[in-house]
Amino acid sequence: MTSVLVRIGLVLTVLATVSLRHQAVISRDALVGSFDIGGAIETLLRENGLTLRESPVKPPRVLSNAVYFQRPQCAQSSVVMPLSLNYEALPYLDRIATAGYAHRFVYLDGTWPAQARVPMFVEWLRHAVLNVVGASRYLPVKTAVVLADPADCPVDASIDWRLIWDKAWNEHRKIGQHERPETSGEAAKGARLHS
Amino acid sequence: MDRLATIAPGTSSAASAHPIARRELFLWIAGCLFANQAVQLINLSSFSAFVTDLAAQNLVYWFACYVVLYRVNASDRRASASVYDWCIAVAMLCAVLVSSFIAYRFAIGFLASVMGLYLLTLYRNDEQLASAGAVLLAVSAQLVWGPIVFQLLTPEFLRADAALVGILIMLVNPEIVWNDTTFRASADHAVSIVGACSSFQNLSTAVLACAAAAMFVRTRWTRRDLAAIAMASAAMIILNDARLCLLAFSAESYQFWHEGPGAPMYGYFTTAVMLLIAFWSARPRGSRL
Repeated sequence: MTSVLVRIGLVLTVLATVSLRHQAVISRDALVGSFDIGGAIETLLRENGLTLRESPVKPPRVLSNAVYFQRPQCAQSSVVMPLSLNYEALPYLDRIATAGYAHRFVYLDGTWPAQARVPMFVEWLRHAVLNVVGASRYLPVKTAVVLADPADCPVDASIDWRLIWDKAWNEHRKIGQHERPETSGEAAKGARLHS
Repeated sequence: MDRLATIAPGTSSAASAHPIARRELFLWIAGCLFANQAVQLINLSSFSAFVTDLAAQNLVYWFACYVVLYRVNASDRRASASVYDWCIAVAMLCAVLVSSFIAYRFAIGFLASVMGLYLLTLYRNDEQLASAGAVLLAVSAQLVWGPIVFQLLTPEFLRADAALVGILIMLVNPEIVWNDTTFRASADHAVSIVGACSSFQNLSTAVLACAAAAMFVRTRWTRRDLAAIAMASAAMIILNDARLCLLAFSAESYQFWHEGPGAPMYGYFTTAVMLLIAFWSARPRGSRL
């Protein structure tokens, strides 16, 4: 009798873990699938009054994900590139923004002058766990952004890049998505590179 | 202390105190770990997605899971679970339950490490359970430790990979320009090794294949297993570097080997080579195979 009860308990435990994990996977996939980081970057730049530039690289190439924009005080375009936490950024950066560009990596609450793998991973883990109990303001997607600005151009810190992953901001963005204006101009030559 | 000794693993006094056998308890734990991992590896959102995912599964991983279950199942049927076994079982099931809210594979990887270490530490004299523990550790290396090591050493691994690809490319097509981890065949086609396609990313699969095959055929390690792991790792690196060369040749070649039918072909071929090396090494001593 006891062994039957133990087996029933074990079956129920296994079923509970599998069904809970299945729901968690569905939620995660829906979250990742609905998150458009390129769109979020473009909206953020527009909200800050910056002009978007046409990317010289067309899909399906990986480098077509880079978003080019023009800071009014700079002669050359700046670039924002979404980047998986598992990828090495330097080969991408070498092809997008050549010499004369300063790089900055931004991910959730952190900013780094170079790709910091461990701190970025810790940042992701922290918010992935906090997100389980709804205590994180961010979508815990494993995509950071790297910002390349012309090194000789003074860049102000007025853009809050953290909004890219902000849940509330993204919800608000989706509502007003259809009102997006067309892109204009073309990326400055210094920021151009074939992929 | 005396009391603990009376309920040590496999003793008859414990048999009367606990309702199910040790073997069954460990099968439940392993089954729970693998079922939870399956939920993350197989897409159940639609039938077509399920079929597509099944075709893309890592066969070496599933073979290793089978070997763990096979070895646990082959362990002593009469031995009852000790207090330690029940404690680890309850702790593992609770941990799996809590980790179910976080849909990432590293959680199951960590728990597989704990279970593997438990079996290896407490049952090192029981060949069946010790071999199951060793394969569980190899599974956890593939799920969590390998990716962590790769994450920490990505730049170094990528440079080593690029150097090997560069040597191969110089031999077959010297016109391709090699710069750090980028290979440029023409103005329109360049390939950069950034992480996911690195040869070193898959070394844990080579180790897993050798560990699983060895522990499937026998329950003891031999020196030949180390040679097999080295051979399988070298084969994995060479095969992947050959594929990276093909990706660098032209946009058409890239399309075929990265996006097209070449990708699964390469996957199946690599799996077959890994298992061939693993089973060849694991064969009984004196075999003519």
